[in-house]
Amino acid sequence: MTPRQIQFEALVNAYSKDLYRYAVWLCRSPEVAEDLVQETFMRAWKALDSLQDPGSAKQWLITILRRENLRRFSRVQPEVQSLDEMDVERITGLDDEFVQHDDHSQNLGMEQALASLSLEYREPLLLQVLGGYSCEEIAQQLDIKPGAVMTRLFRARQKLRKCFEDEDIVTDSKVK
Amino acid sequence: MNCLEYRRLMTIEPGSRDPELLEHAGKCAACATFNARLQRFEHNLGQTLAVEAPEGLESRILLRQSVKASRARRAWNQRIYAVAATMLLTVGVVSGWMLTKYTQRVQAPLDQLVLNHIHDEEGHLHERNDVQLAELNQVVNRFGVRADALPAQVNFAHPCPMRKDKGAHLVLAGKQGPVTVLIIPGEQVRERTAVRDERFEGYILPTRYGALAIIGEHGEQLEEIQRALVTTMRNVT
Repeated sequence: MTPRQIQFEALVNAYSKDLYRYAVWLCRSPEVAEDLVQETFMRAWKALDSLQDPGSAKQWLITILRRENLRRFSRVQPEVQSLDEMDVERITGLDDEFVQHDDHSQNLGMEQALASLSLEYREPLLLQVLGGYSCEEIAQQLDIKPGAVMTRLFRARQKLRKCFEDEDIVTDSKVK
Repeated sequence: MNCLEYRRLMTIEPGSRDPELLEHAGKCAACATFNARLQRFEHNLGQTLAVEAPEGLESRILLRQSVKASRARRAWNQRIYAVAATMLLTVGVVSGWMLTKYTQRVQAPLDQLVLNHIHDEEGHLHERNDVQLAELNQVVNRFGVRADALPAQVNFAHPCPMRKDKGAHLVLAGKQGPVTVLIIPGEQVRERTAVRDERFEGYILPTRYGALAIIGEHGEQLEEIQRALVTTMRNVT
């Protein structure tokens, strides 16, 4: 096996699951997500020599995946739909019989809340939670200012929490 | 830092280990409770996002890549073969062309061969070496020819490969211009044969060693040159 092939297989083993998670929440379809991940790795294989720093491999792959997703949008304009409960279960496998009922309800609520977030708020959150990006890195990736990233992250969490709790997390009357 | 600022910053980056934030949470019970709830929320968010990847995803990616790599290798090999075939064909065509040209030249009649030789080595017509008698003899002696004197001013005298054997190439000063004398061993001519093209004219004479060509530009007094050769160089004809 060539060193290039070894490097590629290591990348696939290390990051394909993370990329899939990111993709599935980005495009909200398990089938499209897998296609995106496969296409991302095919492009990574072609451009493997341009990866200089193995430490930045995940960011590099996410960048490729985001570009590939944009290309997908330029090819076809898929109808953006909010996920119904069945779609959410298809994504997360929450119809698994081993999931406890309480957790099921709670996670399903979170799923639906996430799905209802617009991409503008969802993507920075995905980059932070799944990608491990800092605000500055997210700003670079999305080509917006760090201040805008902070605003989007704040609002994204606020919207999600509002779905579960009546209490506004920041403007709580008890807060001084 | 006040509570509002703390909660805003923690909501933006719940995993922050900023010392100021940690210090505030240590002093403010309400914010510590807020943080505990926030961390539970983050845990829930993380769990929700961590969907299972489909089974065999890695294998499918590696399979697709190996098929693609193998196709690329085949395409690369085909390109290499195509280039090699083109090069081989080019070499073949060029070699064939050169062989044909060579064969044409080698099999050409002697008069054409003589003219080709002069045209190919036209530079010698302009030589001004002022060849001396001893030097001339060195060139012509191997054909049994011996010069007792110079037949005219000799500007160039050198052994030269002919069709069948190594001959001699002389350039003498004629009245009109340079006159080429070629000693051509091994060639058989029955009688004096005229040679002519758009620039040169002359003749080829049969000799004991083969043939002697005397060629000058149109209008040159070649008979005088021949007489001088015969007078000064024994066995030249």
